[in-house]
Amino acid sequence: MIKLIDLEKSVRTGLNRAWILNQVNLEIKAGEFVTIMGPSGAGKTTLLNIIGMLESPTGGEYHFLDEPVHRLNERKRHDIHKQYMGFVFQAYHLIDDLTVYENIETPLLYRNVKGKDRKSIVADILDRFSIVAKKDLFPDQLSGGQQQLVGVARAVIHKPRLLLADEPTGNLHSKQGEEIMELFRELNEEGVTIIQVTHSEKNAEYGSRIIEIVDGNIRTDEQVRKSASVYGTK
Amino acid sequence: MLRNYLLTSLRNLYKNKLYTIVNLLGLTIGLSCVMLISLWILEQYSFDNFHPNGDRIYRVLENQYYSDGFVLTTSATPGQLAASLKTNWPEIALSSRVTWGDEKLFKVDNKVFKEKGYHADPDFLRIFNFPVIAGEGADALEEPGKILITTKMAEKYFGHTDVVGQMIRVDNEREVQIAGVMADVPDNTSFKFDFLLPLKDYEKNNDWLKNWNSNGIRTFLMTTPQSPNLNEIPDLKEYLKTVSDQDNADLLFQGLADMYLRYDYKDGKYQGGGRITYIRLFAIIALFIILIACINFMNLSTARASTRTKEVGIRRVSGATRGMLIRQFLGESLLLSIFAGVFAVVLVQLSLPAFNELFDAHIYLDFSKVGVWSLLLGITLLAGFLAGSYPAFFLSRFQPIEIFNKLGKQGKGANWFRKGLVVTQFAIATFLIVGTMVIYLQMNHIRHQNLGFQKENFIYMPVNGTLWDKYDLVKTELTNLPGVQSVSASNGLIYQWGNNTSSVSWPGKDPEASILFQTIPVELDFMETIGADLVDGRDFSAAFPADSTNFIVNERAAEMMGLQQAVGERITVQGDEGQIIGMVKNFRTNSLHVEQEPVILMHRPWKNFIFARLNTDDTQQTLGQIEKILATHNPAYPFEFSFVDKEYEKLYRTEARVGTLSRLFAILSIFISCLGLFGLATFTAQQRTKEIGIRKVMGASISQLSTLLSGEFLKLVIVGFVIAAPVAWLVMHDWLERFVSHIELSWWIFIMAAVLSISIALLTISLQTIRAASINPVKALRYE
Repeated sequence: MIKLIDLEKSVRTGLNRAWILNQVNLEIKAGEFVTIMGPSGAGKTTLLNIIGMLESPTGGEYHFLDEPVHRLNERKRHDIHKQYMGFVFQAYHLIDDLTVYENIETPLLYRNVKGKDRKSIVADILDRFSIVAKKDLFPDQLSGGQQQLVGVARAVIHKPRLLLADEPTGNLHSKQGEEIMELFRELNEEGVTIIQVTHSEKNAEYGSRIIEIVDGNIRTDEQVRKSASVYGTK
Repeated sequence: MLRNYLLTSLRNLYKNKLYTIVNLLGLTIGLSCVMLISLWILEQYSFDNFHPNGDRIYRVLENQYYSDGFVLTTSATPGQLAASLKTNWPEIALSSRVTWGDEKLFKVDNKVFKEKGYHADPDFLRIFNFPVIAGEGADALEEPGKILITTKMAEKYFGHTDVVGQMIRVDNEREVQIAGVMADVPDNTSFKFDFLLPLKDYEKNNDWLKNWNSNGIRTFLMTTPQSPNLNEIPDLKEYLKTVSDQDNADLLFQGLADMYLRYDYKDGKYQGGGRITYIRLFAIIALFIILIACINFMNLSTARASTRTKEVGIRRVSGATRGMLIRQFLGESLLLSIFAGVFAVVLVQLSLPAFNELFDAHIYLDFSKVGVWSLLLGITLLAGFLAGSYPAFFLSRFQPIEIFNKLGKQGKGANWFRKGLVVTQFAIATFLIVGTMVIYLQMNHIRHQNLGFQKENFIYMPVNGTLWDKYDLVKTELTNLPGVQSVSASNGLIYQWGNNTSSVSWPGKDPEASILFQTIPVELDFMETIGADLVDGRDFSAAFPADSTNFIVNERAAEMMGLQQAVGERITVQGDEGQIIGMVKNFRTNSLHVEQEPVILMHRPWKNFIFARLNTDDTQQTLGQIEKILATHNPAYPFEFSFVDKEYEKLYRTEARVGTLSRLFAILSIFISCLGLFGLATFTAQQRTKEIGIRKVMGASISQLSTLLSGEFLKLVIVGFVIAAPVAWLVMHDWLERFVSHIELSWWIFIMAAVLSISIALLTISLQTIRAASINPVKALRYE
């Protein structure tokens, strides 16, 4: 599904060039649940953003479903992004002025889904995430966990093939975090490819593969052995 | 404390440059408009206000009632009226006749110029305050042979003002003695003159002045201090009936102060209009413009409130009372408005010459006058208070706890208020757009109106000196020029004939009927020269000697006489009987403000103007040839001519000026409104960065986001239009009613105005919304 070859991201700071990502080679197959870990500033989020087509790499190749993304124009990239990807943020990023229902509906509006269809799709997901009762509330009337639930619902409402999550449980306490991760596992089992960035060993265990990034490079890339945590540094 | 406030204010203004510039620019333009308009209004009100006994001075008007219901209100009065009123009415202390304004040719040595002045009775200088600097005053007007001239005129002819006793040649026929020198006439007077000649001089050549039934001169009166308002004396009103045969007329006395501002009579009564209408109109426009500029300030200040709430919180926690904060924020807006005021004064000073030129005004900023300073300062401070009051109360309202708890959040109330203000701005702007368009279309309509004569390629020349004696020769020579199609003459101008009479009788006339006809003495070839069409019969012709007593009528006259077949009938006009030999299609004899008049043309030798229809590609060359011919036959006078179409435009000068002004102010008010919209759009875009980022990640495209952001502003603009449209319809409908022939207020004018204001608004905000929509969501959503 995703193939990165010698991917680079650099920024110019004065006369110097600083590499955020350097020579990243990575292949992710459909159906995987990948966790990206690493210390702060290692380039995890940048990598996630590049995969999510929110940022462009400065060098190397990025193939998504055999399309050479690095050669596509903005419009085409936007279309792929719109069709295949869903995002979950650490800070939820719900629109304050919209209700839960309207927030979840937003992605459908941008995909020209008809009104009647929208209603049933949103109703389904509200039901599935057990937040029907909350549908007319505004984000600031919800707890953090509930807000993130809405965030996830919004991210998957248009049935993306790839779900990208940047520290999805970073602002939640452990109980709420577990709920979200359980949800991720379910989605993964239904066939959604997931890439998450996290600092939490526990969250990583929900995934099938862990990639550790240090200083813009992939240091380790291993399948998760379901028995124990061997990366325990924290 | 003050220093602290001042510093915070200045830093705040400096830090938010866009906000400062938008406010400063808007306020500066707004203030300049208001200052200009205020100065203009003051000038208008100052007209004729320098006469010490102004409240005792009247102009005599006469109402003439005709059997068809028409009432003519005129300031033309009988020549005997002034003296008779003064003799017989103890209330009237002084009275003077004044001519309408005469042009005379003056000659001293080899200096020859035309000057404008009046013939007046001695009381003229006793009623009005036109100071005499040297020599005789009013007494000089007692007997013919003397003249009073202004300083300016003395300088022009003699190079100095010590000229009392000198002789000056008038109209190349006689010498008169300069009896006195007067101060130059100020700009703000209804009387503009450089010389005064005794009315007795005028009387010699104008026998009709002795006739009580001929109206042709103005009469001014001054009452005794004890006298009541002249209009309250019933017998005085009916005085004409007792001394003359004018039994269909009564008198009306217009106060001096009203003469310039309130001349608007219909059906014998003052209708509330005149120049005062335009003063009111522009006062309202000035108010609108400053309101729009102040709204910008209010909008931007409250929109930006979130950036100031922290400061408010800290100040309150440190012990500031609400009053102190209000003073601080008011001070800030005053500071800004004072900056704007200074710029505005500069702008006014720079634009005054153009303004004066355009509107024939004489305004200047006299900084030595306290009044001017207080006017400018007053306007500036008022704007500052108006703009700053709401933000000050709004910002100071916050409670510190609230502020720290939810930093950056504002109540929905402010939002509504802001929206209301934007709606107000665009309602005003739309109103002005509609008004401007209607005025423009109406003026265009008038310009292209079928007048019944061809006003293009058509010139007239005044008959000066002895030119009239050689008319036939001049006509032959002029007609021989290749560029001249035909030549004729008449006693009046093509749109201002000036001779009315009701002394007309025709077969079958109701003995009670009195109808006012326009009578026009003309020369041969008149129809061809002015380009009017004969409907029936023929033009005057040299082949019919009897034509010197015959008449041609227009369709309107035939209609009012009730003649089915006018040509061939015999009528009597002012005692002269003759046959109607032709009927001419109606042609305009006055402005389109009034109804078509009935006209009787006659072939009589009393002419003031020669007309020529040109038929040439090289107008300059033809004019040169005409000048040569006139110079040969009338060497004492300089060549003078005017194009009829240009003169015709002057009839609508007031409307044209109002049109230009309203166009200018409409553009400015749109500009200021857009400035505010721009600032608001910028700020909103900044505030909604996060939301835009989220929507983008959710898959929104740039165009979808721009639509979302613009849509909210567009809604406001549209609501503004919906409010303004009916008001504009009512007002403009009313305005158009002043014209007898006017355009219809069709729906497309409003659609155009809507499209215009929406597209301008869209253009203004699109830059900001597209920029906001193009933002990189990664940056927008970066964690704090």
